[in-house]
Amino acid sequence: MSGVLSVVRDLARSEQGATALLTAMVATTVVGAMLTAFDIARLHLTQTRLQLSVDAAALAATRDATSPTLDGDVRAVFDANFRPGFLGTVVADFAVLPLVQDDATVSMQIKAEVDLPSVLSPMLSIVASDLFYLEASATTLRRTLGVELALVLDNTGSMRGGNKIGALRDAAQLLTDIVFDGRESVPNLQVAVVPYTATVNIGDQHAFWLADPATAPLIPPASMADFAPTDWKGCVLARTGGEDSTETPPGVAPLDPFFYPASDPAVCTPFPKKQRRLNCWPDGAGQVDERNGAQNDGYGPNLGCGPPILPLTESYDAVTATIAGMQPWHRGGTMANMGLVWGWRALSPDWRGLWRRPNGTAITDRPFDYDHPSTRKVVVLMTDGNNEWYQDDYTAYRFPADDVLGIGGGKRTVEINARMLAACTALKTNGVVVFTVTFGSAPSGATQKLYRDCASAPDQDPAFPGLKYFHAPTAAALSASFSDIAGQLTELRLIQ
Amino acid sequence: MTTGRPTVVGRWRRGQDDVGGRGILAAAGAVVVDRRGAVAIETGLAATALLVLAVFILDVVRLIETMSRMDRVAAVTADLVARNDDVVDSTDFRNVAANNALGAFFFAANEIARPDDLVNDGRVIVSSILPKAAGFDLNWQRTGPYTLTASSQIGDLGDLPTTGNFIVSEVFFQFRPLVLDQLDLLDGFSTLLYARALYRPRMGALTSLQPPV
Repeated sequence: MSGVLSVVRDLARSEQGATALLTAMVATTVVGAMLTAFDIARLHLTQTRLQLSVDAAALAATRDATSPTLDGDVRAVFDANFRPGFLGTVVADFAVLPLVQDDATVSMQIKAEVDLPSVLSPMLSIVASDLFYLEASATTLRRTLGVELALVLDNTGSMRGGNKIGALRDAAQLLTDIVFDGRESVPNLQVAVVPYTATVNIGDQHAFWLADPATAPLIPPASMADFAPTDWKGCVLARTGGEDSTETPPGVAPLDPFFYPASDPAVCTPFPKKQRRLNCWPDGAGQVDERNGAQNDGYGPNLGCGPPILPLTESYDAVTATIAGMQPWHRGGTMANMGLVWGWRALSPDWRGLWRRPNGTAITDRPFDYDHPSTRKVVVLMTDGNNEWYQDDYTAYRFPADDVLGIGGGKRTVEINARMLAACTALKTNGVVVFTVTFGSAPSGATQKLYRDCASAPDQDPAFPGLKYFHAPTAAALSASFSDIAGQLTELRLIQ
Repeated sequence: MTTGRPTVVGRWRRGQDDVGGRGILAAAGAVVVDRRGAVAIETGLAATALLVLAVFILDVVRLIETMSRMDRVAAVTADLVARNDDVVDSTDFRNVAANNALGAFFFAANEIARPDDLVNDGRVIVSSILPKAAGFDLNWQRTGPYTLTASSQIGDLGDLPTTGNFIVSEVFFQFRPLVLDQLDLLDGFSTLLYARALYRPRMGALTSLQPPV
């Protein structure tokens, strides 16, 4: 026993190995601290990447909320950002939770739980588990504003060059796809399509808007029977008496049909005569040729008349079909003011109950009032050229020689531009947000200024912040412009 | 040779004759067996090791912190681009052409990366891709006037949904250990950090870029 005590006493007194012991203790502490710092840094790195990855997945989920493979799609986006096995992590749980998914609002929550192996704890066995548990979540909200939208689109003959009409169809379809978000209809989203040339086709279901020949003589034709051997296609003249640029309903200011008169038979003989300065119909076989493919060689009373307006509709399919049916129509020039005014009338509460669907059924509850609490009105006006007309072509203002504008010769295009600008101002005064797009190289500097002046200010309506005028030199830029407009009409943001 | 008490072998004694190599050997032997200052030497060695360890810890933590920052730079850059409905094809962050120009997003990335100098030691590459059943189509890819040479490494992104295109932001950064590099203890040591983020455009298509006005 005394021997043991002696050894203990000797050890207590001995200074040999003291430094090594001290060094070992300090080194252990330092190594422990290093591993702790390492673990904390790994935790920080993993948590940061996890949160960013969940955010990206949540935004993608909300964008593609209607995807039938949503869960897998979202997980794929998450995995692309938070690569499997990152720092030895294992994704313990991943959940896509639709919070709200009605027609106007989509809200999504994404939750992810990850196990991160610790470097320190297994070595010291100081905690029961050698895994760190991390979690992250993100909630998004996407809201589609109530909108009555009129797409006023150039269908003039110049749109044939370089397949500009194809580019327009693609761009308009892109906008439609974005605002409808893959659904057939979105509550409180109504879209009208107004193709225009040098006149506008209101659709023959609206023949009851025309002036009654019994009470007021028609500008030729004397009767609708004069369209024989064809029928009135639906195009109308600009109203006279200053009503060409107003929203006055047709019951107060009726419309006259667009009737491209036949050229003098004396200059049309023998048929067929297809010179651009002429409109020789019926031809020798008693027929007309108003096919789109006839281009400048067509003839008939509806020459230069484009496809009909699609009044406000909630149907994605109807909008898509109308866009797909747009073609370039020759003869007459370009009168964007007519398109714009009809876009206005398509949104005007003064025309509520007057519009008919293509099948003739009445649209009774639209357009809403200008100050409707949850619905905005928006016009998108697009052109590929300048307002212009030809000396021998019939237009909504008839032949230039008819001097319907009442300003004598010359400067008629200036007057058309002025009337277009007046309509722009009236729309904006009523709170309608006006987007304008000039496309291609044809629009002159003056035209670009006209459309810029026509467009709403970026901050006219806080609901739609952003630029309202776009000049698109190329097809890609046109799609980008329409995409931008669609983006302004919808919202998607991360709220948590 | 002995003087009545044991001679400590090798210990140098003042006044002892130093005759040839025998004296040097004796001195060396004395140093070996001399325990004076041993604690100081051991402490010095241990402190050096601990200092190197501490510096190593510092740089490892810096490395991970920088990796985390580059992750954030990549994510924020991709998200900033994805928020836009259209993006202008102008990449110079020293002369930003528009709020939605790529140069503006590169500028933001450079600011977020601070205190790291992305302009001279890094590079940001932004791409628009359209996933396909296998792989993806590249719609466009742009980078800014950065100094560092680096090429896109998008590589395998897994089975992304083919419902639309994605914005991919890649960030490269040449990490240099702060203390060790200055002490020339790790001469030339560096590592090229890489961070990548992939975001779906929020509303727009972003399959093409707008030409600069």
